[in-house]
Amino acid sequence: MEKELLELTVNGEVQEVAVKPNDTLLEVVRDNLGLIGTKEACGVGECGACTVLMEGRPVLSCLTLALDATEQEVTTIEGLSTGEDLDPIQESFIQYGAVQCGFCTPGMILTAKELLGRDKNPDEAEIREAISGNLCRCTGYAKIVEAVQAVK
Amino acid sequence: MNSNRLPRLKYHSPKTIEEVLKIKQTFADDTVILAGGTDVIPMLKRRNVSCGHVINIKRIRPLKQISFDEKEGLRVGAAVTLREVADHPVISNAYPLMGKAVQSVAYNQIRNMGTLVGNICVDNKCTYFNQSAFWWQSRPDCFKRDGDCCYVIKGGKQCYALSAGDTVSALIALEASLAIVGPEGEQRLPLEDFYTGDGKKPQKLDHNGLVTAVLIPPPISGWKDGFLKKSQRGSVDFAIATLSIRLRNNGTGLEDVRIALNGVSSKPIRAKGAEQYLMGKPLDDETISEAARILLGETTPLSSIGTSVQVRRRTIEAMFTDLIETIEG
Amino acid sequence: MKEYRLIGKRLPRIDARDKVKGRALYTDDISMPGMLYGLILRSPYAHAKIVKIDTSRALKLPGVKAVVTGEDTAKVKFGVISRSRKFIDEYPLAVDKVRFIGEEVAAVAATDPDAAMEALDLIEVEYQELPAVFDPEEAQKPGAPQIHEHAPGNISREHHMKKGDPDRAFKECDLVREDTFTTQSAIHAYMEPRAALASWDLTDKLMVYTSTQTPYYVQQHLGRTLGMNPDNIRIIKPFVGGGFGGKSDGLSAVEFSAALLSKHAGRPVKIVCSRDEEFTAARRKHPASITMKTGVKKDGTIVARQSRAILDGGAYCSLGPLTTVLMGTFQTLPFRFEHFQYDGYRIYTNKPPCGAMRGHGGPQVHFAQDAQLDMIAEELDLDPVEMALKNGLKTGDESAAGFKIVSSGFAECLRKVSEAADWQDKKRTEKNDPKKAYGIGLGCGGFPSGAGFYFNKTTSAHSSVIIKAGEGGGLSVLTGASDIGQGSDSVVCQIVAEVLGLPIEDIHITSADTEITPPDMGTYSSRVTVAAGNAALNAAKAAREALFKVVADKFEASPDDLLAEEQKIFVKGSPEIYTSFVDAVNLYQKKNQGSPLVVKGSYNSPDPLSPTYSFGAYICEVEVDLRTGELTVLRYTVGHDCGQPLNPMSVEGQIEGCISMGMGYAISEDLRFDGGQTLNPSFLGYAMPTANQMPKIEITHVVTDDPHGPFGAKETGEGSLDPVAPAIVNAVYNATGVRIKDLPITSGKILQGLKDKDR
Ligand SMILES: Cc1cc2nc3c(=O)[nH]c(=O)nc-3n(C[C@H](O)[C@H](O)[C@H](O)COP(=O)(O)OP(=O)(O)OC[C@H]3O[C@@H](n4cnc5c(N)ncnc54)[C@H](O)[C@@H]3O)c2cc1C
Ligand code: SF4
Ligand code: FES
Ligand code: FES
Repeated sequence: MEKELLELTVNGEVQEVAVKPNDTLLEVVRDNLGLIGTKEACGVGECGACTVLMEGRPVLSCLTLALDATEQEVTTIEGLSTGEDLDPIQESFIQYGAVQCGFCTPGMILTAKELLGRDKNPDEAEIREAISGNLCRCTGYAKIVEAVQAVK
Repeated sequence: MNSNRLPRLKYHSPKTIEEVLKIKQTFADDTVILAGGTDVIPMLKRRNVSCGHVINIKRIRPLKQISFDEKEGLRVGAAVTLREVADHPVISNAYPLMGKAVQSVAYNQIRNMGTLVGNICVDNKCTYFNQSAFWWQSRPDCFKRDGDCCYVIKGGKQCYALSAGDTVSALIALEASLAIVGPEGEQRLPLEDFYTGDGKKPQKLDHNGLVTAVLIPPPISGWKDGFLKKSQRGSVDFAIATLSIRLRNNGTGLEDVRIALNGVSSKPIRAKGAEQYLMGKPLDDETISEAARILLGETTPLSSIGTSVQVRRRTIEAMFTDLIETIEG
Repeated sequence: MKEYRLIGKRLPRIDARDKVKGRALYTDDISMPGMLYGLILRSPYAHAKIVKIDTSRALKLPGVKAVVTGEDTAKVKFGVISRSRKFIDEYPLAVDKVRFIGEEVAAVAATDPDAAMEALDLIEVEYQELPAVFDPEEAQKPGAPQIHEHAPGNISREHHMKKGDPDRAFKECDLVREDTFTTQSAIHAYMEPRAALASWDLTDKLMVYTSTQTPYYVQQHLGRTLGMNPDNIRIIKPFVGGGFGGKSDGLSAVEFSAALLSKHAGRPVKIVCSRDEEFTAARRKHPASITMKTGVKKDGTIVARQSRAILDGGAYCSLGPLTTVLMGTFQTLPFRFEHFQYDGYRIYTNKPPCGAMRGHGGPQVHFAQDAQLDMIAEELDLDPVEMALKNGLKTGDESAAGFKIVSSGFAECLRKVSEAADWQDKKRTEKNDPKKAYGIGLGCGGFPSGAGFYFNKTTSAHSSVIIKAGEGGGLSVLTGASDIGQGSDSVVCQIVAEVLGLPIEDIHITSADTEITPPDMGTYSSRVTVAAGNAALNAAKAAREALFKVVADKFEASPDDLLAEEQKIFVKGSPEIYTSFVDAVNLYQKKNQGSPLVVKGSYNSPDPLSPTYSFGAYICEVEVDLRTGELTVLRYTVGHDCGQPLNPMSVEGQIEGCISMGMGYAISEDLRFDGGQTLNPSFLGYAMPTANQMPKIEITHVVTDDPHGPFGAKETGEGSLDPVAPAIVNAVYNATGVRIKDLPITSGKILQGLKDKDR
């Protein structure tokens, strides 16, 4: 099958990658770009683990064709903070014990990040609603909600 | 990589509606429209649909617009996402019913991707049908897979897969219609008439047609309305039922009422029986419970995993009573 | 309790930073040059003979580098409980026969994902379908299809226990109740699907990265099934995205197929399961039917228990033979009674094999026990909390199954939660709203802090830790314990740092790499904190002793007078006389001809059952819509005794995780079958709890100083699950008068119950 050259803007960097039309954005960020922080736990839109930000909004990379992502700003967990730095929400997840196995964590953090971007002080119900599509099997969500609430 | 890999396909991303029609003419029923993809991509991954050509419509400028005009009403293009609809000021100002319905679909990420028109065109759902290619190796194909049996209604003669779009009842209550273009030009179809009732092919849209927009008449003052969705977990899940009611009450009785449901049958339901019964009547407890009973008779609830027929029926009744109470209260 | 510098503190996990940055590597995140994509072909039949497999067309497809089937294997069976031949019943790739839908039949490896997908379709398998059986009662009947030759009547394991004379004791009871409870098929649904990456070097050594809880078992079982010395196999456990018992089977077809394909292709092969495959073919919890008979005195004293459990085992043993035992022994916690009889039968059926899942038999029997005690309390007009207080196991007691209780905070848990939840008042809440009813219920639990035995024959200690000091004062800690997300790496580091007076950042841990780290049973049976924790404690003490010896010589003091704190070793009472930790390490090396400071510590449970037990009491509040049967869980109040919580934040995390898992078990999670076919193999279909569904959770730590646990700690990861479901069940009864004896509590069952009650 023919590969197509795709121009992707990921974490502020413009990159050219050769992709197949049936490659998802998830496959391309992980396999072609090595951005393995984006996880696949279901591949069919039912868990939120593969969440990335597109134009600042959380979307499911497992349901996005890579070719569809052209001309869009994509942010993965690797793009949230540089080097040793942490975004305040990452710091909060650490301090509040919101991370156990960590498999849901990147998707969870990106989803919450966008919520905090549009609402500085979301109440508990809003937080729970915003992350309701991000499944976590370890934490029971309690510490995750606390961590999001604690970000100032 | 795992067995969720998409099948090989050709990708088209036309810039104009004309191009879409041309691609559709060339490849006929080997094409599928890709809007937000939240319905069609999982189906492709599971091999619930097979097609060689995917037509992305998100790069067609005119389809990305929401426009409002006091006379014409609201027009939402086919590439407008649910999130964009929800965030648009005209929705909260003039169409709160629609706002609520849009917010009830799936969850955050899906609303950021999924389109309103995609929600209207979403395929009917069935526990059996929406399974992987591997899963289907263990049993003969059902009607929706071009076989000749149904697993939901044993001995049934057609497909009963449930109509699923959560915004549809609200749009029907608002008397929405669709703009559809085909080789013969643009056509307008009241949304209510868009659905066939056959779970196998639930919408009147052949492979040549493209829905370009949803059109909603301008709001008229004096109406009150409300929307309710019930689902197993209160988020994420498809509905046990969605219900939309619009009514006008002159103090002594109902002057006008529109009631629509979805998720309870193989097509959206306009509860005309209940509407007729309610006309002119005051909304007392007795009337409401009788209307609920009539309404129930207009649906055909089926059982699905986690939700029995009994629960579906009682839920619809309770939703109706609660919603009328909220609207009136 | 003694105050510690690190122990008992709310410390962040040592790996949290990597995880929030998306830098932690899980198996699927690792790639190797030349790596191939592997996929597994599974059986669409529940029971069939494999007549013929033709792989030639698949092999001809461009890009395909290897195809393997059972015929390419040594045809050696495995079974995680390898102490008994009877339990070794499964081929890693099917040979001659398949016994459940989803069983692994063949595997392919290709250079390209699409080629791998297409190759699967090109493998031609000719099956001859056999009659199948799905119901454990049916399976025991004469003439039922035989699933395994070695198991007549399809009995995979039976286990019988008796203490005292229950038959006689029942006659002396004031009340005897017998009820049958049934539970559904539930699954771990860890977020990271199983994955393995295998590669061979040219000296025929095999290396496998795998998402497992038990790397040492994988090493043993891979060796056995591949016909090679396990020492030539290196198993590395990278970060693991949850396990909950589902990755503790010693071997899976994923690891085996990756290894075999890699051998055939001469290139690394990675296989990653799809979620669909996980729900269809991975291990799961045993559905069970439990008939429980309990006899009590008028004052609520429990006298005797007799019970019989039928476990639907699925097609292979997995850890099920142990589950069969545990469903007996676990019902003797947390209550005391003298007379006990248990008869457990695990039955083979043509469904996916059931194994261990968090709580391992506990959630099933605790649901039965707590629901029945709630009914008994009502009949006797007693308060369930009072009755639990009367019967709870105390320090020094021995349970009917022989569990020796060395510390019990159960009574305090009960007192604390009933107060915190305002139990006495709330349980009398008026019920006069025709639409909605409020209810409150109690659930109780007790759980071993780790089983004290290996599943295979071995001379290894249960846990061992090696510490190696670096010249810069940092410590390398090697442990075989597997952190699967529960945080054992952090606990081990915390203990070592505490003992040696170092900041946690100076401890560098390598865990679960069979080539480097000392043997360990793995992560199951809630054993890690106590076993690996004690091994770490022993190793750290050994390191301290070695250093104190050289420092004492230098200061001409006694080693007993030294303390290690703040990266220094000093004389008690004279903090000005000190040497830095780094200097102490270098002093040690100088005194020992440059040989590095390397010490080790091990731990074996003093009791083969378990060294000690945790306890808990949970109160749940619910609201039920009486019109629709819709159930909303409002609040959990938890009292939990895990000894001294080493890190309260981690303990709470385990409890909160258990509440969501237990709540799912109680109200929605249910793998449904049509014959042998799973009807809901997806997250949407399985409906585990989402963030918006979770109730308020309030936790009280009841601290007991356990004599066996490291710094007095006990387990918390599994026992916390047991009380969750019964607390909801009892709350639903309190709200509606509907007694659920069959999990999960669906709206449909509540409606039906309300209808039956009205009759
Ligand atoms: C986990 C999950 C949960 C979900 N929950 C819900 C839910 O609660 N409620 C709900 O309503 N839906 C739900 N959905 C379904 C779906 O996400 C939504 O209905 C969404 O609005 C579909 O929009 P889309 O743009 O993504 O559709 P797409 O997948 O792009 O398209 C859907 C269908 O419509 C066709 N189509 C799209 N646009 C056009 C057009 N302009 N002309 C002609 N045909 C067109 C496509 O070919 C396709 O067949 C869920 C999906 C998932 C994966
Ligand atoms: S309802 Fe339709 S999709 Fe479902 S089994 Fe019947 S025919 Fe198939
Ligand atoms: S992996 Fe994309 S939603 Fe689960
Ligand atoms: S931390 Fe493990 S799934 Fe969320």
